[in-house]
Amino acid sequence: MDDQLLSEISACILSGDLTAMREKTLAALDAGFEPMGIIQHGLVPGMEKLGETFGRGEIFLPELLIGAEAMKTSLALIKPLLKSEDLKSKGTVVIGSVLGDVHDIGKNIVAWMLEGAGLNVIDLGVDVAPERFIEAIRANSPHIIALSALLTTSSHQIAKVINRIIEQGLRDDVKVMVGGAAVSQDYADQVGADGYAPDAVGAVAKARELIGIHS
Amino acid sequence: MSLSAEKAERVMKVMNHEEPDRIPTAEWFAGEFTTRWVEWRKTQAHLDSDEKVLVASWAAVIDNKALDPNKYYDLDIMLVVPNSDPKFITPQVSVRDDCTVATSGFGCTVKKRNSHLEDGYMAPMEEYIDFSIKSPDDYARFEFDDPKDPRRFFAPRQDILSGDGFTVLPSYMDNIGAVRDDYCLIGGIYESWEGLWRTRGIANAMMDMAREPDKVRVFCHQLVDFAIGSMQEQVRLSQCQLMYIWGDLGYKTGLLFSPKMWRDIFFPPLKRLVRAIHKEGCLAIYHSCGRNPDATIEGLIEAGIDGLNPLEVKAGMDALHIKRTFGDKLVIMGGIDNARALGAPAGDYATIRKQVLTALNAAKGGGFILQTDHTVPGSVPPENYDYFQKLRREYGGYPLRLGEFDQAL
Repeated sequence: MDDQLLSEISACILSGDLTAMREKTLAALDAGFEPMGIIQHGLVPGMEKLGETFGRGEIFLPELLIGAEAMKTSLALIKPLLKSEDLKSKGTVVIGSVLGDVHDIGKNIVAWMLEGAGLNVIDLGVDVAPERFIEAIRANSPHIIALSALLTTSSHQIAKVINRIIEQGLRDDVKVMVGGAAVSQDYADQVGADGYAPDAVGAVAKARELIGIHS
Repeated sequence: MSLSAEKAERVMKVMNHEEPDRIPTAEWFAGEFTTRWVEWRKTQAHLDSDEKVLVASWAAVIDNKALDPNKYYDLDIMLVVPNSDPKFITPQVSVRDDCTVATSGFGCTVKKRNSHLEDGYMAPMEEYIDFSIKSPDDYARFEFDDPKDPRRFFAPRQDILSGDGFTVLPSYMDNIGAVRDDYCLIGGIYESWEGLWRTRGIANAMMDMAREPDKVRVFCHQLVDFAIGSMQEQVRLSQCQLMYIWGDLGYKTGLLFSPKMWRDIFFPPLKRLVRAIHKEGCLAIYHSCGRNPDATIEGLIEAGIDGLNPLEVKAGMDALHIKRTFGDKLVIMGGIDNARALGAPAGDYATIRKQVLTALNAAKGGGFILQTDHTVPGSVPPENYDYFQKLRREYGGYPLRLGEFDQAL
């Protein structure tokens, strides 16, 4: 099979070209590539490269966003063809901005980058009450719960969610990651989170580390 | 000399990089902070009768019972803005069980909580859930109403996008009348990035900037045309000498977009806007949250801005570094840490003292307006804020004597 197609799919993430991404993804499926193979050998390397370029300060949020949109365009074509065990195989992350915090762009970028790393991401949105995180843990058995807070006034909600997870006896079942402008490594240590990352690229690396994925 | 003239003279001296009698001070208070501060003030045994009848600014017009930290701390600057939505509309407001949903003159639909959270904090910002510009082609179809429409200045207005809840504010002119004798006034306008994301959404706007820069560029100039109209009318009606520009270029760890993209799309309209402000006899203070690298600040100075606000400490901004780097090319407005210094546990005065007195070195030679590094949130303990103002009273007079915190510039 033509591995060139997978390289071109990766390249579409860096260029943010939606039309080309649609064509290349359909061509890869027509050529008989396994859906999970397209993710692992086309989308994941593309998103990794995108993240690295962003991490080096060579691109900024607009380029990151169009790359993520290209990834989602491909994923939308591939996902219906995946088996349910494929979806969960690399790990599941439940993510959301905590109660009182309506900021979504940072949280969305982290969600897309995690998805682009081949993880199954369940995005609860913004202004998410602790109980909704608990329900999502019970319903999806995620490896990680990722809590985002941009506002100083809402960051204390992170501790509330963690306390609620402990009260419900779920703390040993799930790792907790925290991030957002209001959060730091010190804060993460203080509230007993398992991981903190200062940006989306770091969040992917931290999630892989917590799940135990080694590339 | 009237109180407002005295304050205006003080402020304009530092804007011209001279030392007045003391460092001028400004502050934007979140309603949640003010509420907590008022409650705290009432618990203070030394509250005297004069303080009890203090006349508030915004709050007084709405609620005569309110105390006002602006007045109490004798702050120098008051921000007064008219309705500056691109479209002059009566917002469609829908009150639901837990939230209120409303449309604004930016064409966006926003949602806000109705009540406080169980720990007493309210979601202080609105969630943007829909936008009127749904594709890059819609930019050309967006129609702006008259920025000088008298209703923007003389009629009460529903406050949708700012403040702490949905409320009806007094008219711009009523607000001007309530504060013009007591403060140096500053007007306010949006620059093109701020107007762009409010009409299109942050993520959509950024993707358009990458894919359809020509369409975005034209729209940004239209946004600035509108802002210039609003600014001219504000100056005519209030005779303000300062204009605050809402921009925002950074977030916690860096710039929102590349310096090249900023220079290509946003720099030309910003330069035109600042030139228009100067033509009206005003000076321009640019608001940009987050981390703003030195190269970006150089670009802002090249665009003509006179001052920079708010220098968010948590994002790595440092008033002293800015002063040392840019000297008398730039007035600093802000730089006092709301998150870790004033936001420290109540009574952690050593942390506050160190940060504030170190930052005050940047006021040497003028060119510095004392302010915290964004709106004072409800999470800042009132006693910490009060201590910050005590430091200002004790150490803010010229010539500065900062003792162990004194540093050479």
